[in-house]
Amino acid sequence: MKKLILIIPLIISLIALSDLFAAEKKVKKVIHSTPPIDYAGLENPLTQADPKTLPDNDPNILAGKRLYMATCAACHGIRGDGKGPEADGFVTPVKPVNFIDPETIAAVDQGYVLWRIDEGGQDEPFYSAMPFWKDDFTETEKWQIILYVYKNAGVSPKAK
Amino acid sequence: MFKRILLIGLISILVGIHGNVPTVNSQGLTVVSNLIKGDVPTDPRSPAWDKAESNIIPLSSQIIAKPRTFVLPKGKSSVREVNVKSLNNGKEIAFLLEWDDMTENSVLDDTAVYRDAVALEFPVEIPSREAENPYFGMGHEEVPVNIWQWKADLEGGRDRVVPLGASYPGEGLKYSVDWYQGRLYDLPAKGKERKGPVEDLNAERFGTLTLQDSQDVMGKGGWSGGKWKVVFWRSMITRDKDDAKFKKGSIQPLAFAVWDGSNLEKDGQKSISTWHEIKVE
Repeated sequence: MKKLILIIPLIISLIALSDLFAAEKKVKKVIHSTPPIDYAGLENPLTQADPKTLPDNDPNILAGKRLYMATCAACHGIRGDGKGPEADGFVTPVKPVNFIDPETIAAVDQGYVLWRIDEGGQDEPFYSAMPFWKDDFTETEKWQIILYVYKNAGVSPKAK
Repeated sequence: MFKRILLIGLISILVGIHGNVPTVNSQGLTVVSNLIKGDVPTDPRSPAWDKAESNIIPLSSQIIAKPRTFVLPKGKSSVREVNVKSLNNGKEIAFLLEWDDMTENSVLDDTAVYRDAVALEFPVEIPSREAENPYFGMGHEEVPVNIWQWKADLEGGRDRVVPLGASYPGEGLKYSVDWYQGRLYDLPAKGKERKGPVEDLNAERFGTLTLQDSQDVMGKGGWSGGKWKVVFWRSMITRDKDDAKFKKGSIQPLAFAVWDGSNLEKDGQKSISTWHEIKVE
């Protein structure tokens, strides 16, 4: 019994310690690059409202949803959680972004998201599978997608 | 005895709860090229492959560069994973790639479909750190990749009658258009011929695929029961500066591409992976 009394606290301590390290590992730090001057601080010309608060039947939200489902959901998922049907093969260097994660689009403004849509991830520092969509959408369509991305994920852009 | 059982049970419960913590892996898989004695197997059905570790690589539709797979009739590529094994004997390295495909598309005179194919991709130079990796999608400027592409239509001896880089027998003298891949190739210098159904290529970005003058990669593939099995093999070190290098203990990126001809996949319309890594024992 003495052995048991000694060993059990030891096991619990070891597990607690390893959990502490695991918790430390789970602390993510997403470092966002600085967007080019053309995109820095851009505001959405379609509305100044927080996209999260727009109604489901808002025309820009409906248009953004249609475009998002046709092109973005394949990787970023219908819910915006980064688990779309095409996400599995794109594992390095980064997986498709989970928009629900508060460290992603909630940590940047809409101008930053426009930059990422325009330029994609093929170049430094991303080298990701994100295509560049600069020539595929009109400016209005891109802002509509951005509104829907925030609305769908249930997060707000970073406050100025 | 009771105390011992109690102790074991308690430890199991605690470790079990702890072990249930989910982990996330975004580092890719490490394919180990297992070291063997004797020749590397060059037949996909060789029992020697049973000695190699099996790795299932997830694939996605190529949606980065145009033409994207969105424009295929089904809106996506077909093949979702490829199983890879590797063996080496210190001098030669071999890869076995296996994937499910319900249709064998190895004859190009059927205009309703394209050829099946598979490719391996490596950096030409082994990067010293991840930040120096070429872009997984065909490399990028001044950081080229070496691509080994096996084409089903070149199996069964057809590699001997189709000029290097071409799709049909007797095409062109100085250059050849590969209609199925939509590319214009310069044919290599006279005397350079195919050695098998694999083309040894370089690229520095989407749309820059180039045939090497020195074709150093061999291959052999076969389709049976809804599955392709293709072996690639090559000397670990070649004289060609544009070839990927392999040496004992080396670790470097590798990526994969698969084309399903019955899904009208050709050129950039294919299933792809991002970088994983190959470790040579």
